[in-house]
Amino acid sequence: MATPLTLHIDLATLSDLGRMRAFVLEGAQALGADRIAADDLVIAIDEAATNIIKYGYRGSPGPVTIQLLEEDGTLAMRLLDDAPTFDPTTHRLKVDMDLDIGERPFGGMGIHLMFESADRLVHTGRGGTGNDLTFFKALTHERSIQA
Amino acid sequence: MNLTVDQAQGKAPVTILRLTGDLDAATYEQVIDKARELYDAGSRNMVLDLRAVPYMGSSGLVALHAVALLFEGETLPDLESGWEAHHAIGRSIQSGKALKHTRLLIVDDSGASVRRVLSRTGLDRLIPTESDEAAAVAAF
Repeated sequence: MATPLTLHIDLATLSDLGRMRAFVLEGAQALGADRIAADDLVIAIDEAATNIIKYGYRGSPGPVTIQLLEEDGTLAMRLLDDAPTFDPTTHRLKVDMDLDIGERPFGGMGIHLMFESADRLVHTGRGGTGNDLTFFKALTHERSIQA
Repeated sequence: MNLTVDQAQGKAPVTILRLTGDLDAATYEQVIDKARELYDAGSRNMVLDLRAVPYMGSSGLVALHAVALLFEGETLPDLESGWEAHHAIGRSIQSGKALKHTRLLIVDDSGASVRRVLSRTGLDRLIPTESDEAAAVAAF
């Protein structure tokens, strides 16, 4: 197993979002992602990290770790935090994408954009507190469309 | 986020608010505050120049929507109430009512996220976009 590219911030605040986006943009491209795929992962990390800091940590600084790993043409972007458990994939199940955005019962634009920007999301709880969320994205836009 | 203001003249006076830098959860309130200041000072038509915005996320959408509502003379959603501000965007999109007193100025090489986020959420159906500053001003 290759060692993932890792960014850990002990006391993350909204002012760290730019640093996280830069890490993902550069890291994803270094691991072989094309610009379209890398930009999508940037959108995904921005929305997910914003949710953690604003709603998970309620504005107080808290730890955030981002890991990037490539395997068989797919990038896995893992996001770890210590915030109360929140599984966006269960909220996704309650969202009818055929409805207009204003009619959807759950989630904001951020969750919508997270799902639109990744091929697949997997959430794992970390024993009551903490989240382990992984975004999977094909390295190239063409493969992403097929996914 | 750096904000600068210019005045222009179409058929009516137009204020151009130029944004430089990322429009995210850390900066979006600056844009709303500045737009509110301009509206309170008498501005009634707004061009938001996004050509120098490398990144915009959903918080940026909240800012654009809030500015457009402000210039329609409407009440802003509670920006502190989490998803309510996002749902307010959805309700506006659903209503199909164009927000006529704001134009977004973007260009093809604007930050990829700007175009992508606008189109994936449908906000570009609500607030007219232009790629040419003169055309944006002349639209008022």
